[in-house]
Amino acid sequence: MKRSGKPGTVLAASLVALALFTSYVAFDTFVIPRAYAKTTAQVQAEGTEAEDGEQDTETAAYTAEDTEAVNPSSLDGVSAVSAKTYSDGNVSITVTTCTWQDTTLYVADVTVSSADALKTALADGTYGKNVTETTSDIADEVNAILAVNGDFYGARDLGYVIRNGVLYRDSASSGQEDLVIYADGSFSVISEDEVMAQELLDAGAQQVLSFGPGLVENGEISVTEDEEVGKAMASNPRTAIGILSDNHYVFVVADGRTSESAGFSLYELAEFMQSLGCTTAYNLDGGGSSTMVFCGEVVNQPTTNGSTIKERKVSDIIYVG
Amino acid sequence: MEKIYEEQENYIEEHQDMEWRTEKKGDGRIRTDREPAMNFSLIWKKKAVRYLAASILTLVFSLVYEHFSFGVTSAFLLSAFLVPLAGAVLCRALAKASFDPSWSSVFLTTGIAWLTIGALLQGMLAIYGTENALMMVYPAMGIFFLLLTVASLIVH
Repeated sequence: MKRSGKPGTVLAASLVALALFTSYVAFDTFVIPRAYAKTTAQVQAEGTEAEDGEQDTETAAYTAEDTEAVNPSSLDGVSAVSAKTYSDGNVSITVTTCTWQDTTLYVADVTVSSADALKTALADGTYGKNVTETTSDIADEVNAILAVNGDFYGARDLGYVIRNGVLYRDSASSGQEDLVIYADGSFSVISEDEVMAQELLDAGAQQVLSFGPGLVENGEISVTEDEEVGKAMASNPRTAIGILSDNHYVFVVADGRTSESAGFSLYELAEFMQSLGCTTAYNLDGGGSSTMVFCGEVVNQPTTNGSTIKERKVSDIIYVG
Repeated sequence: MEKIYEEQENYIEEHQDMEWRTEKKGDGRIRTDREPAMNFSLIWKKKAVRYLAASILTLVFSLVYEHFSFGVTSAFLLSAFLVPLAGAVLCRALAKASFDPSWSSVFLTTGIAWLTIGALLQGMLAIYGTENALMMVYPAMGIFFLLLTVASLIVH
């Protein structure tokens, strides 16, 4: 029986095809940008109005000073390091740098006169895949007073995306918990298995963030210490948002992966958000994405590898402006 | 005429058993050649060793990658080594039979490669926190080539 060279040739060709396809998948996943839609110019232009300094204080029936800001240093084991504030007639923000359980935290207490001040923005004003910018760049483009990274929707093909009242993606991800921010500024955590994106939009949802999980619901911690999520149990940089009462929010960013700041597990993050008094709190994209920008400056130490302090480019932000 | 394969030692080793092939010509002459027969059992055993080595390399890669992923884990990444390991076990089983490995081994190797690379890549994507719809191609191609393997084994 003679040996044929054809099987060897076919094998070589098959493996080359595998290598080429794998290379394409890698490029498609991480490199090739795909722009699907542009955000409405009006949304981006709202930031330019603020730049002109035209704060409409006369119509504000509520002033930010009416609400008592949270004081993280009053919590057990929390040591406040510094605090910065911003206040005008519509927005009052206090950013407190503190430490808790070997982790450096940045707690932004936000009170607004209108829920309209709580917005989201997309990198390059574009909804797409591999369309990214740093949180600080996006914040600068929309003149955000305070901004944190969002849910990095661009890294996934599934999960609802509703930003500033516009539905961009209605593909549900099984078991996915989303944060819904309604036009009146209220929060709720929903499951994409139970409600469609259009239904949320019809119900008045302005923002839907799809990362999760929900940390605190109805004032109670909604994650377990044994939750079987790969990203949950390890200590990492984290970003979270919570609501304390009407028009009173808190943004929290925790540094991690460094010798100075270990980071949080999801349960520890939930504990902290509950201790602040959040009725609803939600976990956003963490790791190297965790970034807080306040008055044009990055206030935390964003890092991906734990050794280089550098912002990661992200798909989107949530901001006050 | 006796054929001599002096340069390919492995080929000679795999073709230890010689068998006569007799062909009767139209003019009445009888042509007799000695051709080496393939040692299929040895070929499958060698492939089993290669798959085992690939399994070990895959496991090492997975463990190293997980070590540097800040505590984020992926079942796909950690279990990818099982695919070539299963291939090694299959090859050992086939070594006991007399299946011609030429096309069967091509299909088997290709199928194992698609499944292993797919599992590794899926794990890395999961650790990064992203996904890609194209990943469906890997299990589809892997299963396709494994079915071809089975078909080729049945044919032989």
